[in-house]
Amino acid sequence: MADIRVQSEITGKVWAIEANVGDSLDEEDTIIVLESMKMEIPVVAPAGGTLKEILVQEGDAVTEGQDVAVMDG
Amino acid sequence: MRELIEELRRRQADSLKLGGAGRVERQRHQGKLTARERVDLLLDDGSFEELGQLASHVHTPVPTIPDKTTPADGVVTGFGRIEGRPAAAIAEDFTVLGGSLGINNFTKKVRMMELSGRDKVPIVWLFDGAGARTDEYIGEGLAPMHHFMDVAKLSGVTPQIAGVMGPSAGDSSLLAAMMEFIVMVEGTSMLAAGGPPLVKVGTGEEVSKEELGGADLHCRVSGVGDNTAPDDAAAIAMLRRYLSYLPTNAYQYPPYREPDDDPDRRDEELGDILPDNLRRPYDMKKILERVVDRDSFFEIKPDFAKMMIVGLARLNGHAIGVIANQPKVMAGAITAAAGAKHRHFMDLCNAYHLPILFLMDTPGVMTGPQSEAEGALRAGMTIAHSFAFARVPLLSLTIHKGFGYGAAAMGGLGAGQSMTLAWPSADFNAIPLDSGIQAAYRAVLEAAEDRDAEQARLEAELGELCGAFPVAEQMKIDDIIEPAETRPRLIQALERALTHRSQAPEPAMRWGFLP
Repeated sequence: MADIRVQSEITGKVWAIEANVGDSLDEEDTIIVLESMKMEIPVVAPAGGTLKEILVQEGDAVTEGQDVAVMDG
Repeated sequence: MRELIEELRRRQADSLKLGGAGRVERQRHQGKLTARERVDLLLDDGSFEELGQLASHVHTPVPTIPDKTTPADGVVTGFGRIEGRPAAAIAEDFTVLGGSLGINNFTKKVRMMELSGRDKVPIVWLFDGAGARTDEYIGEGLAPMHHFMDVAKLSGVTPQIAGVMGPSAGDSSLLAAMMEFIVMVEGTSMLAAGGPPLVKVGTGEEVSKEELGGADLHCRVSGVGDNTAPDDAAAIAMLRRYLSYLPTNAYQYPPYREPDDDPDRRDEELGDILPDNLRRPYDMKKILERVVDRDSFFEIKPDFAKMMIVGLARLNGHAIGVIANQPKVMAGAITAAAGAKHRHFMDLCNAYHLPILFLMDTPGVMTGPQSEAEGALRAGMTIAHSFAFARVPLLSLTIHKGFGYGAAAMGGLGAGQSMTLAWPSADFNAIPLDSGIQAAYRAVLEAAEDRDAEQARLEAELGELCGAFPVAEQMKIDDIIEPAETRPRLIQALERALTHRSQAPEPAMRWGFLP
């Protein structure tokens, strides 16, 4: 199984972490919620798989294209 | 005379053989149709009127290709009909010396452009050609600019669109990049100023056609291409569909098509699409597709700058353009790419008299150093030019956020709309509320015992002024409507605005519109 790097599409702050390491996720399930441009923007699973690692903490600043989580595809 | 007629028939039959059975087989093996099959699919049955069928190559002083034969000189050209209306087809034939641009091949293309310009007939290019035929072009001197200028001058006068259906480099790729709508076939198409061999010589890089200029690169990353298609037939269907919304030329209005949807259709479920937490995103396409005529939305550039949705649709049978923010992607913020996508589509609508429906939910132009580096400011402001010179009916509907210049770019105050509507969920701010309060109420906040509580209190109090109702009270929008009545209200406004079509149409663009 190849790792799936989950990336932030926008620069912002980590508002909430909604999934836990080990969770089995479907495509489009929310992993993290960012706050940017006054909106809460979910970072979702790009494909189904198991959440292996979360690379950020609540309150962290993230940039566009930054890896925020890793999944097992 | 009989012998001459026989000779004519023999030459015509030879031309239909394309580059020979072996090369035609290779073309099919790659999953591609031949140039003639493509033209047959593109044009209505039996409507093809071919020009230049008997063209062949020029004779070079030093022959380099043994037994050089070039049926139709590698490009099938002529006129026909698409859904009953006239259109020109220029289809490069890869089976003839790789679809290369010979001197007579070029003359055929230029002749087609001349006739299309004269008769104001849309041109559909089907690209599958490798650029200049070097044995003919060595010693030809200064590269021509005039045919690119012809494309520019026809822009906004009659549609010029393209299917890229094979590797397209050199002159073909340059022409393709000027087209107003470009479909690329996945897996077989390439658009590049120079193909992989030229790149290797120029920079030493080894790249595949797909990496260099494939459908994914151009339709998702560069934005040079618009839509991808899984195969030639699907690409041609898309080209035909695109033209179905447009007038034959700018001296006509777009065709009306009898709708099979009810103009008075209320849709109670529209009110359920927005999430309870309005800070969370939703899919704008769900609203858009329920408001326009059923199955009429044809999205353009669906994979590029996805925070801005553009496409063609029909509203009670009238062809329109739709420009909508997509809150699901980057909160609907307007990036440089989103601004460029909006501006080009708005100019296209204005050129062909397509009324425009704006669906607004944007927090504004994207902020931050990356966005500034991309030039979001200038890309965003080109939209002001499009509004300033727009002569088509504009309808704007604010769904939720309409903040700052982003709101202006989606049809803000005084943008010349025929109607400005909002749902009760609309939220308007010339500047963001939180940072606006921090600036304007600094002394109050500094004096407060609990700064955060005071900020929250001010946001709640002043936020009351920013919703749909205060804006309607000030007559800064024309009306607030229930989501359910969106379709009938938009149709009423559009059909009233179309009254001005009692005047004869003429080209709207002063200099064509830029790609």
